[in-house]
Amino acid sequence: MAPRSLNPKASDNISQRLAGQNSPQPRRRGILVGMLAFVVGIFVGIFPLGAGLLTFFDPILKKKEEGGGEDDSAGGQLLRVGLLENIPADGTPVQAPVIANLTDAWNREPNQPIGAVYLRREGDKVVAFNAICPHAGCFIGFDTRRDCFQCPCHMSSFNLDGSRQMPSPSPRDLDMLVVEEDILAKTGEVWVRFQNFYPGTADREPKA
Amino acid sequence: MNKLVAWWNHRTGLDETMHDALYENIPSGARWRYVSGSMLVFAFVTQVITGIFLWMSYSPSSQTAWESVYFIQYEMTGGWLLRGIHHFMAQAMVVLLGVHLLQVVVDGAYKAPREVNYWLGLILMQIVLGLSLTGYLLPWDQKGYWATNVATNLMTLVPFVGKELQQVVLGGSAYGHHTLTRFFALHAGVLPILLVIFLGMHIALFRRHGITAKVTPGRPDQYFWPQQVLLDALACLFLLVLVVLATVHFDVQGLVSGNLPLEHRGAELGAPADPSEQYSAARPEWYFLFLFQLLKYFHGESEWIGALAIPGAIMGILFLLPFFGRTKIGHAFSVLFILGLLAGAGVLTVLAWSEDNFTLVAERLKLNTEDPAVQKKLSIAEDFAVAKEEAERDSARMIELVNRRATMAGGELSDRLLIPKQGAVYLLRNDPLTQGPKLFDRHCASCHDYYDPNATEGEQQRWHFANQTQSPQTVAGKNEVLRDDKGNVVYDTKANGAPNLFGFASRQWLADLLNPAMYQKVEYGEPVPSKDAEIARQKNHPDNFTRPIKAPYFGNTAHRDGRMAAWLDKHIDKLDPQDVKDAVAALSAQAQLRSQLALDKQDAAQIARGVQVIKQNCATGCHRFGDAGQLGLAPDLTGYGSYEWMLGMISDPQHERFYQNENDRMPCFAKDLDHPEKNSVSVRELGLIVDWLRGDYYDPADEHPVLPHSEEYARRAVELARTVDAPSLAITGSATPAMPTKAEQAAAIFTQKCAACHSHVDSAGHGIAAKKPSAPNLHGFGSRAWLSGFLDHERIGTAEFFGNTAHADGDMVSFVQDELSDLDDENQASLAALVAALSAEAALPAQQQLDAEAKESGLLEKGREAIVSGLGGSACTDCHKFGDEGEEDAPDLTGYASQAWLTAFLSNPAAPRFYGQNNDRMPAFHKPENGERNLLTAEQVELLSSWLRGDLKD
Ligand code: FES
Repeated sequence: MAPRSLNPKASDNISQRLAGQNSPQPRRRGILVGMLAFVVGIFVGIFPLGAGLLTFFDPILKKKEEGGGEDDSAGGQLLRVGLLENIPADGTPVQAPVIANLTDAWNREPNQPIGAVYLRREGDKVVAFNAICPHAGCFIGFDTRRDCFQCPCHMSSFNLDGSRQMPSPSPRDLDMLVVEEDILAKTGEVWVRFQNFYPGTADREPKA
Repeated sequence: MNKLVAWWNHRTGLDETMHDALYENIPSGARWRYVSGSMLVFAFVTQVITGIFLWMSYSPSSQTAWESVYFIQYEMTGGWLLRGIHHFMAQAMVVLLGVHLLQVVVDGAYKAPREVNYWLGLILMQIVLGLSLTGYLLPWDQKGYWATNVATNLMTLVPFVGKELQQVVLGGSAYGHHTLTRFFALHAGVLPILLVIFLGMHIALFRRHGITAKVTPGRPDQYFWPQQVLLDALACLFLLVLVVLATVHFDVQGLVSGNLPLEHRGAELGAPADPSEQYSAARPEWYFLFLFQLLKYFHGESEWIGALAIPGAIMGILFLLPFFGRTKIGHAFSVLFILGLLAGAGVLTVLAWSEDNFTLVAERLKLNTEDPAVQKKLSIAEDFAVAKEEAERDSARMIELVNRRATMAGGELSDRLLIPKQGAVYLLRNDPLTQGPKLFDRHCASCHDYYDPNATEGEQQRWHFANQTQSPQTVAGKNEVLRDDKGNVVYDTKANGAPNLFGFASRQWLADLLNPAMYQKVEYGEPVPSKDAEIARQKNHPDNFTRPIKAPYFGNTAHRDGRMAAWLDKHIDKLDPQDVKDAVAALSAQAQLRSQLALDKQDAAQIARGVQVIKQNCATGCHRFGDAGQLGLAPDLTGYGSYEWMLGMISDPQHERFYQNENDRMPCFAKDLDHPEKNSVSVRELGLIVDWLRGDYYDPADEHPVLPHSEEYARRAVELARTVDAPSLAITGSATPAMPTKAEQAAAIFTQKCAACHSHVDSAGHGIAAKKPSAPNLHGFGSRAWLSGFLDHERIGTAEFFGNTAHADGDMVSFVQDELSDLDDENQASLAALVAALSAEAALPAQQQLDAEAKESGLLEKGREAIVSGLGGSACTDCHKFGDEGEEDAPDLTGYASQAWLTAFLSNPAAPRFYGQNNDRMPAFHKPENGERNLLTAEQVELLSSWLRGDLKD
């Protein structure tokens, strides 16, 4: 049975056309129309998607736009994390919060903890490590029983100098941060260039 | 009716659709084994329904996510049930997925012609796993935060686009509002839509190819309806019951009785996420544990293998299974593969679990605890257990904090205060009970202990800090311990600890402090060998001989042999024990500890007596106590142990109200209020420590609960503590003191500025004693008595006068000693006249009478004569100026010790008129050109002179 129009009032003509008996248009034109319909269809569909994708990719697009991100982060943010006199002289590390302005999308708040460091004294010098594990980013603890840094996640252990205890899931030693020695010598204050690094790679790469 | 149904069916074709749906033929009839697909659909529908209702109450942002989930969980009617079902159904869905996949492979349903449908199924599985990953973060609690953190960090390992991928997912380079909005959009929008699309295709293809039936010859075919539908419905009912049971943690009794404990109500909610708060109990949802465990086995740079390659390869092989399935062997491989996969995941999950509970495992398996590898795992597991406990405590604490109530003026409780705009994490960060011990550990515990000395052995103490140790002395130039003749190790006796602050300022603490034995008590523990096995083997290595030391009070500080210890030794026994008790109660009352409030109230009379005892015994020479005594020699006892006092002490122990320069190694934690960035600990944090030490934190069980002090309040408290003579320095338990009199103010100035060198004590020893007398005693300065003593050849060289000064070898002393030693009667008389005349220059109020008489009798005249013409060989005016006569090599004697003279002298003793070059360390207290930097104001110098001259009466 030939297909019928669902519209009972449809003229026979339409019924016939549906049946393909009497094609009013040449075949070539049909292809053109089809292509046009396809292109327009794709366009109207893609357009809103594209507008959405722009915002969706905003985090990477904006960074490219600003372009300066890389330079800023090269040295890290210079922040004060403690005083020399408060770090035990025997080389036991202490954890100190890193306080800075925190920007979270539309919020900006001063003096918020943005991370943590471990500080260790070596004579009159201070060594600073980012407290984030270079393996996958867990917060490292200090194991007083074993006198080493211990990640609570996948068993990476680090010696007091930040080097890994092999074998270690971590691809690199603890991320050491630059301590400003001039300021330290002059004022006894510990200022570090605070940076976060991408985990999981042997060479460390600062996060933007 | 029938007509209506017919019309409806004609217009919609519903009957045909229903017919198609229900009258699917099932070869050999309905079976239980066909239910897993329907159960999955049911689970998904449940998630959609519960999810949409959760959505209505959820607010994705880092300030509101946890808060809104908290509200759902604890405040909304049935909220915990809704959330619980959503949470546990998600887990059931993952289990069902595993079962379904296993079934599909074992039954060969993945083979031709159903390959495409199998692939659709695998995609659906990915979507479900994606849903559970994104859902885990949404409550924004510590657990979800840190576990998801690992997952998103692993994303950066994806080649080429890893970092960009992570940023797009996080909505930036760090976790924040946009991480939540994106995760939520994925979880509630994108992924469910994809799931519906793929599920539609999956079911359509399933219908196209029909069920993969297990055909039993002789068992008749059936339609899907009604037998199989019944089986499916029953299975779904079973699933629902199971999920609901899981939601109430199988506590049927609690459910029936209607009082289900909070921890049995649905899914747990940890403490709010805090990126700066160490969280050592972060674990993914249990069905991801095997991936978590897998990461442990790939070391260094091979991390990507465990994180990406293996999971990727497994998914790849799963996609390829239909090709293997073409042959019999291939099918066998497929079945083995899927079984192996499940077994492997199971083993890894068990391993992950056993490593987190290694203490138990090691005990069961009797592992050698000497083995470093075992030790490491034990240590990690212990930390994990502690962290988990802490996490549970924090989340329980959050409930208390959100529901905190303030005590209002009338003593009634306010409404619940709920969560402030800054978010829940703000509550926890400012809770003394949570933060106090952590901050104490960080800033105080290297010197101070904190433990309950009366706790019996083995009793679990929530806080136990005891880190004081003593190191052995070493043989000079060698890394070897020093031993005495008997071979015993000789220890370093340097003081290196500080008191145990448990119960600081409580009656018990103070009673023990006043016990000389306890004051200096020190207990030594057994030396602890080094943790380094290599060193531990060396018999004389110093690292093997560090021993713990417990000194509850001042036994391990420089104060152990200080004045307080000496005083205790000498006097405490002579005091009436009841007096001591009263004094302890009175002093302790100053702290206004909450734990003692009732006791303090009840013992008001005792405390009032004690106040007097303190005034009479402690505030006479060393301490100040309210209006009695002076500052300068020992810490102020006014407000002892109170919030202000402690903040003042900790923020700056060298302040004049506290230890000043006798402070023993205690750092000034927050000296500079105007430059908070210069302080090593913020006043806010110090406030948290003090509140914790004093027990000032919110406790819902309290009749009159307290809220933490605000940062601003803490700052003001520090300011108050540094106000030396604030009228607010009232003594608790005694009448309000009057403003200090002028004499008291002057005495206070003397104590602070002069008493380091000068004493001011009468012949009976009463008065203000110098810490290290290095200058004359100024009591009665300028009086006849003082001058006669000064000009006495036996006394001038003693500590009372110039004995400890540079003048001891000067001309004046040698003059007195040489020329004034063997005086005949006549010269004696001239000396007395000289003394009277010089003293009259001072016009001291106490000598008014004497001076008048001397003038009358001509004694003054004679004395003045002697000053100019001399005694023995030389005259005063050879060096000193006196009136119009004399030289300027030594201090001017004109108007000596008068108000004007003294004021000028104190202001600048090195002026040419006074000592000039010869001034010995005496500071200039007020030079106009010094402005703000002057040690004393001009008025203070005046006041001090008047007081020294005895012009001020108490
Ligand atoms: S994150 Fe530290 S070991 Fe994996």
